[in-house]
Amino acid sequence: MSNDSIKKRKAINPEVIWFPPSGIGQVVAHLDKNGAVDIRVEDPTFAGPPYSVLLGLGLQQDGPICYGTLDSLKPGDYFYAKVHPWERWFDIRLKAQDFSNQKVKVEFHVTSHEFVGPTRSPMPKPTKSPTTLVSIRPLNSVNASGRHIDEVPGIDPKAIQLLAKGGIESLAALASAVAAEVAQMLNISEVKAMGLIDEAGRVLEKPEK
Amino acid sequence: MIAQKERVSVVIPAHNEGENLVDTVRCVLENTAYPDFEIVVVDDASTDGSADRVSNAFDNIDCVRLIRAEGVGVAQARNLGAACACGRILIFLDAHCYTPPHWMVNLIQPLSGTRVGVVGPAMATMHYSSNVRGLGLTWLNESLELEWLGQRKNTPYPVPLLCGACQAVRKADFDRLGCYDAGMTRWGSEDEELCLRYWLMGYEVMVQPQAVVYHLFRESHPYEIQVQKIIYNRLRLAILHLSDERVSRILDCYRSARGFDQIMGWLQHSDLMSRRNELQALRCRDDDWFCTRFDCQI
Repeated sequence: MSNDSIKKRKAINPEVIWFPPSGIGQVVAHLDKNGAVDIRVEDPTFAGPPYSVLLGLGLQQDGPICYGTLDSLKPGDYFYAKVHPWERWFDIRLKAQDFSNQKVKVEFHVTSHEFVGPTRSPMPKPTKSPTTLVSIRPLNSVNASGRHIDEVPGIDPKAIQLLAKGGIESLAALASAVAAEVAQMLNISEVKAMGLIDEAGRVLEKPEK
Repeated sequence: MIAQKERVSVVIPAHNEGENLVDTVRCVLENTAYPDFEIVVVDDASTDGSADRVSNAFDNIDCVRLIRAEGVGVAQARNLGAACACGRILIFLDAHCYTPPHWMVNLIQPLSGTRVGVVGPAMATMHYSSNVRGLGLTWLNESLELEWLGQRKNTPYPVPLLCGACQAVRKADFDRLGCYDAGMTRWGSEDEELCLRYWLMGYEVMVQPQAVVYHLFRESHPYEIQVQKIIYNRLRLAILHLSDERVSRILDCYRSARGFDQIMGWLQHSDLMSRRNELQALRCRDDDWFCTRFDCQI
């Protein structure tokens, strides 16, 4: 997706939304009179192999794997978009004509089906972002039943404190955390943070008595 | 089965890895339930004190050794570590990895097959708490850009290439096949070249899904990376092993890259052509076989 095409699309519909799509992200998008909205999905912390993003306007089933623009999407559709290995973003134009001039909730789920991208060679810097209208932190916490806690921004600092006191919910939060964030929070190396996360996950695997 | 009396040497090259180096070594020590292994850290001219921290932290641990190199790059650092290693099995491991319990036993098990030359684990990323795994690599196109492969089965199986963050080999084969290519510069493609060379020399390169290693994929590196040197390594790999027709297509991909003429000059003044002739005389398979075998689009 070239920058020129992005500029053109901005001229048509300037609503471009950035957010890191780790875990589950939600955004309210305002579709224009044509039922379209541009969304740029970017993860500024991204440093390695890309991933698939499951994107939809509601529910259900798998869609085709595609790059860039999806020109038509009806409520209930999902599709996978594979992030280009050299970029940390991709553009999607959602179009749902039944929802012209309406706000829709767009839900992003990161899936684990794809793991693409090289480990080496320098990553190009992302292009300057257009106007950010919405910024959403990823959902990365689960409660003890395995369900995602709605819209918890980043790692709950209390979870780290709770870890010292024990408790299944704090371990659950840690087990789904990101090593880089834990490392920053606890001022430890990423390798050590990964060890904490792995240990938390292993503790959770043991059934509670 | 690999006899558990075979000593394993974990070779960890490092340059300015900060606290991750000590923690990687500690993690290997704590999570490796294997009766006979050693860790050989090769510090490649670090300036951040990480080597001294390793020396201080493991001074009383006999199975941890520190070797200091003089800025030789990752390929030569690994070779240096291998040369100093006492084990019959070598595991090359990046200095920013987390190795969960049981990683080593599972990883080296496929090396019991006599035709198996290199084994790698399922690579996971520390950046996302998911089950995302990369099991081997392949080339995406003629620019030799890499693409991770997904999991195909739960038991070891052949893959075209493996990530250099963790590769296990038998030391005897490694020495006989010529180690990591000494002509590679600082960083990049040395792991792909090793795997391709093993395939062309008649060995198999396998991924072991039952072994998982977490790798820190970084946004920025604690050392300088020159794009020209990365391109140089890629072109060296191509010219060493691929047909004239493929090399021509790959060169076309990089012809407009900045510094291309300089890169070609470096290649011309290296041992490239003599090494190419030597390798192509020794191999029992060619790149046509490799590309057909793995449907590789280069």
